[in-house]
Amino acid sequence: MTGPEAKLLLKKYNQGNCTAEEKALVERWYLSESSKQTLSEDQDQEDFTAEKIQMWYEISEMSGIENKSRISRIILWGTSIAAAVLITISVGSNFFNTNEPKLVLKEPIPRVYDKNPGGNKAVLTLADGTKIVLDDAVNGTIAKQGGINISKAADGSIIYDMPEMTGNNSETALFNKIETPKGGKYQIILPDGSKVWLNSVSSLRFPAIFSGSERNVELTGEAFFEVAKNINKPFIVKTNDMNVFVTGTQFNVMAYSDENYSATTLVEGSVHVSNLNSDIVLKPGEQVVSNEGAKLSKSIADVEQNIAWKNGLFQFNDSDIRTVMNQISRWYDVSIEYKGAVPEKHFGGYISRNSKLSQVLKMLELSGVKFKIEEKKIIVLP
Amino acid sequence: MSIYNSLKDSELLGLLRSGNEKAFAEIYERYWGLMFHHILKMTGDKDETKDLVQELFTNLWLNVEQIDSETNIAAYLYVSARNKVINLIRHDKVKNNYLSSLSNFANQHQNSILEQLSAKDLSIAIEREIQNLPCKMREVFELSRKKFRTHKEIAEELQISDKTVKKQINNAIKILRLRLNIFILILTIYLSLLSNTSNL
Repeated sequence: MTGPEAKLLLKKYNQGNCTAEEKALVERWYLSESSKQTLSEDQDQEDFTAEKIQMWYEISEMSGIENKSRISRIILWGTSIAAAVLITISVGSNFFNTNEPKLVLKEPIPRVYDKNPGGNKAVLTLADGTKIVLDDAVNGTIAKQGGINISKAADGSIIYDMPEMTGNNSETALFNKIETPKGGKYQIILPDGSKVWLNSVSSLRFPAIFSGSERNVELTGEAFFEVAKNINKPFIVKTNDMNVFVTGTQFNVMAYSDENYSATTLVEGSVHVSNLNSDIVLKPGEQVVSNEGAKLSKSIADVEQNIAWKNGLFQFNDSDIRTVMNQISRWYDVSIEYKGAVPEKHFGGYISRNSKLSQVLKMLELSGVKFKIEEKKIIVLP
Repeated sequence: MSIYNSLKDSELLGLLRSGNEKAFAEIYERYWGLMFHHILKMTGDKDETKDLVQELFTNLWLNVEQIDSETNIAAYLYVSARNKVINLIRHDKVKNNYLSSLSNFANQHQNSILEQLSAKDLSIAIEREIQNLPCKMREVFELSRKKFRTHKEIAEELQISDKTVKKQINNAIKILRLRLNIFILILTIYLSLLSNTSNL
């Protein structure tokens, strides 16, 4: 074979016109070449991070990816680089366009750090360990498990469809787990028809079929339950420091490990709440609070405030700064730091959870709190 | 940290097929280094490499509907890269003497029957590419692929956290700042010239 013939062969290869034998020849040759070639010494030492960042910006521009900066942040790890790239590219290309007689400077890129509110985001882990990402992407059947159809409705909720009862429920239960990250929430309809709204940074472990004489689920974080009535099969929510025992009702359980108490608030029906030391029956509008394993105490609840998150609101009533900031941290995926003394102010009022982070912070600033905002971090000043 | 970096390639492809931008960003994050390194190695030319890698990922995003859901992302990217490099070679855009190397190779194997590359051959080839990545690039890739760790965990495991990772980012910032400074300098000169002329 001669040089020109080799060139012709590569052309045929690129056009997909090679015979199987020719194809094998080209690919085997390429393989042997790629094992011989190495980077030059200079290139081997070079750090290509800047190229990677710049290319991502250009690719997302060309691919029509809408929220570039948000995605860029995953790759860039910091808005400062993003801003620098944006300025270099957008202003730079304007400047060197000599056909434009006038120099047009673009609006400076705002350097104020902001975040969009959280949304429907969760990961579902099936009994066999398969993880399914739940967001607004795919609808319809997402998995089949032990004869149960798991599907996702258009509103994002997960539905467990049981086939006609086979009568054989003696098998070991298949446990599923749904977890929300910071900035996530999710609604799920359990196999018995009970509805659960999961707040951010929360998880619910539940069987794919409620066999046996109880409906047991385990919760970390916060969830609102609308339990389907079944007097013969009580529904039990287990958290770190209490068990909530119901037959059919609506209630909220807040059991974040980073809050210094956990609480069950009853909206409708009746519940039993117990821990090792006590057992309390709640009436609608009442709340049980557990302070680090101590005795449970019952009080009248501000129901509206307790379930505001489920209705898309931050709502506070004489709440301290830590309560407020913890909620912001979980919903906007930012960390909170206190510099010096923690302000002793208490806050009241409400704002939509669809607001941007900056809007929520502005509202708090109006109440006299001072912040310093850094990438993914809010520092509360005394 | 984003939950996307704990997903397997096949799960990312599924999300990518439904138009998920974050899945695309994660694939870019995972495979950029491997592709850039391979193409740079083969072409020796940084500018050509940048163009090819950019095309590679742009095409992945734009043509994802045509990619079968069973496809292995790494193999898909490798094959696309190979086609692009071969295209450069046949247009004489690569200095290396590949054409005579190919004709030699053909002559040597004139009397033997070469087998087609199997999927396994391909994955061995990709594995070798991974092993030949510059040290840190390889470690980062392997951890993200095999153990599905977050960046922070990777950094911690490699014990390069606050030093190397930060240093790498700082290097990037430095380069960009330098470019920005030069640009501002030119801009200032340009503006002062502009105001001088309008004063006349």
